[in-house]
Amino acid sequence: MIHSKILPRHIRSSSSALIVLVAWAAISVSVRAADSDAMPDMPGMSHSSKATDLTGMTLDELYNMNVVQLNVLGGHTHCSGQLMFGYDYTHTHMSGLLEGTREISAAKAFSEGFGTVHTSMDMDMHMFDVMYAPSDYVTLMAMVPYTQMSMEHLKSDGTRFTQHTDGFGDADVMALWTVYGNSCTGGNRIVLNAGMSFPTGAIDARDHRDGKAALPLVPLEYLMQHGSGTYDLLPGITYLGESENWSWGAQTIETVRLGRNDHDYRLGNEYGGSGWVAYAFTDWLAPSFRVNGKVWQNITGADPALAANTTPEGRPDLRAGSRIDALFGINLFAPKGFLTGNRLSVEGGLPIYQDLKGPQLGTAWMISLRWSYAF
Amino acid sequence: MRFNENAIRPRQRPRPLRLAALRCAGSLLLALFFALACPASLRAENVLQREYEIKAAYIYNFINYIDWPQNAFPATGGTITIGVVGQNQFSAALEVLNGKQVKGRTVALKQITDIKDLDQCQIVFINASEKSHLPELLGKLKDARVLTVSEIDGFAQQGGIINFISEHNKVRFEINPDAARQLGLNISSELLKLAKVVKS
Repeated sequence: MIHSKILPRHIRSSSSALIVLVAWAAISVSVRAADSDAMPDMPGMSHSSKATDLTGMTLDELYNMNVVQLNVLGGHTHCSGQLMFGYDYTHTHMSGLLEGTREISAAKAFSEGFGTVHTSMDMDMHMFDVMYAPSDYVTLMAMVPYTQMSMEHLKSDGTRFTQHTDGFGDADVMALWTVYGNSCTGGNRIVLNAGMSFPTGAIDARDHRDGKAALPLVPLEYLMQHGSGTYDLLPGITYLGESENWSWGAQTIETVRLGRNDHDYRLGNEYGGSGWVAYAFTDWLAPSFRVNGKVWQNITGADPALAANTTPEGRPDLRAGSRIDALFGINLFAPKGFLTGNRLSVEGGLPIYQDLKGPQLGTAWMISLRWSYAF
Repeated sequence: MRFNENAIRPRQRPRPLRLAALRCAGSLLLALFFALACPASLRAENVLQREYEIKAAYIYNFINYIDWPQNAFPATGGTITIGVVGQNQFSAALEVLNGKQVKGRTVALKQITDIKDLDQCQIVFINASEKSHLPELLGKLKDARVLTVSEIDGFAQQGGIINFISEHNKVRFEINPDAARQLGLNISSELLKLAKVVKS
């Protein structure tokens, strides 16, 4: 392809995601502008935008209605007309080779026939997301991640090297349908999640052999690729609950891969579940605790470009595993003032259980910073 | 087995056209998804506006739980007038009440620009922007059969009837039943049960 030769790799991999973001922004701005132009003024009254009619609610419902939604962990939903932009930064540090639940040494991995092993990996993920609620019962969401990865290698002769890659990942869109309860009044709610992941992330990420600029570019292992290369279904179900100061929830979201990608493989399906609880000490501060669990399968097929790769991470039959993470967080809200609508969350944690078909690089810890603005 | 990890084909494999087409199609589908998902009446909703929408719905509900003396209404016309003193987003939230039927009367909204018009209303909402004029406004209304509502700290203690307050991310309200009684307004016990009762 001609443009492949002209454009730098990271720009090629990100072009699709950029198209999405620009299109979404353009649609939002144009529709909102058209809408404000069309708004008639009532004599003697002024307004900034048309209000939602809540007069159908009872006194009790109004009395218990949250002004700002507190339950924002997991697949939360929004009130009709609300738009939210979010940015998520997550740093994940992976280290240690695991076989099953036990960590093994690099020497043991070499004795099993591997020429090189990964000793650690650092991943920085920048996730941009937008949510819009066309009604109190439906919230739409789109997310695009940008990842930067760096992996440390150890060869059987004792030499070490590092490889890097960065680029946009797969873009997800999701509809969240509240089938029980109401997003605005809070309380117990059940939300069905129906999403799809689009193959906007690269599956041909490369870096120089042995991390040396003088050596040719070689394909990086499955773990270092940014996308799946396939269209994936994201079905799920979320339970959200709230009381005066507590909010809690549970969610399961699956990733079901469809077909094979152009490198003749399909990543394994993923089955994820999480449960969380948060306590609002004040209108603006709520610490939280969350448990995340995930089970994922091996790769079906194999990338022919990785046939000669001698690392465990290049083996499609050594990708499966399961993990449970425990995460503590601090969530800050701005219910009033010029920062109204802003939220800031910091969450960090580590795995409390890992069972990997290995040798496979384990996860050591992760920390995330999330900012969102709803208006 | 050394030096052969990643030692694969020296030339980069051409990126298949199908994958590029898939990505492009995916991008267009995403854009189309949101274009269809956003109705033409897409309106960004301010969190502050949500608070005022709740307050507007409260005021609508209050009408059902409060009885005015008959002479509080004009002899002709079946309207119940809500006057708004001061300007802010509450005016927009109140617009949804305009023309609604409640207790056999039609709700009419009126932006108060002249203090003389206050006693033509059955409900007067005093915006927080009018805090400095509060004594003057309450003085003007002290004998009028008008339900006064506000969101100013200490409003009910100063002689107002209902004041909205924020509690645990929710809109709650204080009621001064003595002030209501003096004007001949009867507040139902159901409403008082939810309120924080205060005295002048």
